[in-house]
Amino acid sequence: MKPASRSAGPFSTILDPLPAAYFREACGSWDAAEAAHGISVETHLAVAGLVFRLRFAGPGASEQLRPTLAHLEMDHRGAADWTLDCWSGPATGCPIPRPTPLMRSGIHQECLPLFSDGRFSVFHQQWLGALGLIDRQERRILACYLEDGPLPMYEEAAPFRALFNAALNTADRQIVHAASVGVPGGTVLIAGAPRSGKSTLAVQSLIHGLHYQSDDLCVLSAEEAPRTWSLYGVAKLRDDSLGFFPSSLPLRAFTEGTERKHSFQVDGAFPGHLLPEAPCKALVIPRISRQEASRLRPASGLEAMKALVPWSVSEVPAAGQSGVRIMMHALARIPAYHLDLGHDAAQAAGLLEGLARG
Amino acid sequence: MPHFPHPFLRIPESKLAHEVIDGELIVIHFESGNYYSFNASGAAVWGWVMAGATPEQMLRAFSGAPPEAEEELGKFLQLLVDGGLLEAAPAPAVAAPDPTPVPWLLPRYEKYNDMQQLLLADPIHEVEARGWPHIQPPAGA
Repeated sequence: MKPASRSAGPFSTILDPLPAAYFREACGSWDAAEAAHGISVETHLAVAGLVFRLRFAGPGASEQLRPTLAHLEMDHRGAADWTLDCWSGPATGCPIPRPTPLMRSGIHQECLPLFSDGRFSVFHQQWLGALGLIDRQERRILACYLEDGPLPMYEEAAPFRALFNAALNTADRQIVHAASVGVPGGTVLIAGAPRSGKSTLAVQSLIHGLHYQSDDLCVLSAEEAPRTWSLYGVAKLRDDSLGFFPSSLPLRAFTEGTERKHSFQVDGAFPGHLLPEAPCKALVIPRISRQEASRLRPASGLEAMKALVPWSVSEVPAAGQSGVRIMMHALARIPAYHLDLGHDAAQAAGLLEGLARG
Repeated sequence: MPHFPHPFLRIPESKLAHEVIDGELIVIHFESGNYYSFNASGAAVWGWVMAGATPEQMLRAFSGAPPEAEEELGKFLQLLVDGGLLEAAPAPAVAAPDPTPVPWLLPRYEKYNDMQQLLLADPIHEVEARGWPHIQPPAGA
């Protein structure tokens, strides 16, 4: 479907199904922003083995979002698998009309069911002030920020997550709520409830020489030998964990909800230690223990599922049925362990390295 | 001759995710948000359903089955049907081969609902397990 002009509205034409009509109108807003301001940035990203052509129209989000995605940028001259167009409604004067309460009827995991079907999905992140639309057939994504001013840090650190995930699902890949560290030949997923120590363990492992993929969001594939990919090149630390880390880390403070956190660009602080892709060798579920030494214990399938699947569904909008199947498929093919964390971070990192080396 | 209310059964794939993880069959039911863990015998029954075996074939595949095995297997299958984990199916064009026998053990599952809110997955993307664009066929198709 070729996007029509901006004059195609209103979206609720009686001749078009709502999802297609709304997507066409959103394309019109993008076309208007592009015509008025031009393309400010065009680049290609390697996202979990797929090529995304990323375009920004006019002023706005690109300055904030590019550093987080910089490690994914690639030289690419052929056709892309997906096109992702991003713009700021207020900055360009060309917003997608903000969804009304009626349009948000039945919203589930930020997805507007009235405007979504097997081909199209619309995500309205009201808390963020963002609208995202995806056309799986044309492999086109639109991301429009609806609020003026800088984006919050939690979006800057993990942009487009619902949209990336919806696209990746079509290739049997899922963004999971897990940290991931390892060596070039293998990674270990670190899964569990929020505040179970995933970020701290991942960054401690990085400091002790392991390669890093994520502290909370990475990509997992459903293959006979599942793989993981780094997605966002940022690490985040809680305020109360800073005492465990060197003061030389180039941290930026921000607030997430009511919690104060600190972030840093991994490639900048640890050059060469951001691991783009590797086979996934194991999943570990960390737990703080009072033991001196860390130790691994086998975890059951049910424990592995509970550590990974529900939190990923919760934390990644659009992690629907396809995503659950992808995670279950991968879990059936990697061993799972509890990691009772002792006082020695280097020893814990060594255990993870042993698993990653398989 | 044993009697089971549903001569043929199948797994409603569009409503479930199921995998054997570290030897444990785990089933997630999308509509309810419940998840299930099966014992070895229950997992064997599940595998036999996937292979197209009839309840009669399943009963014969349990070696050393006591007289009450027929009733217990029937109750277990009915529980799965009532819970939406299995559904009645039409007769297959070709009969499934007899399953490899396993020792009799009461088939059971544990049902969990403590993560319903987290597991209630997106109902919009009604696609087959192969993923989009393989749209789920209408019920009964």
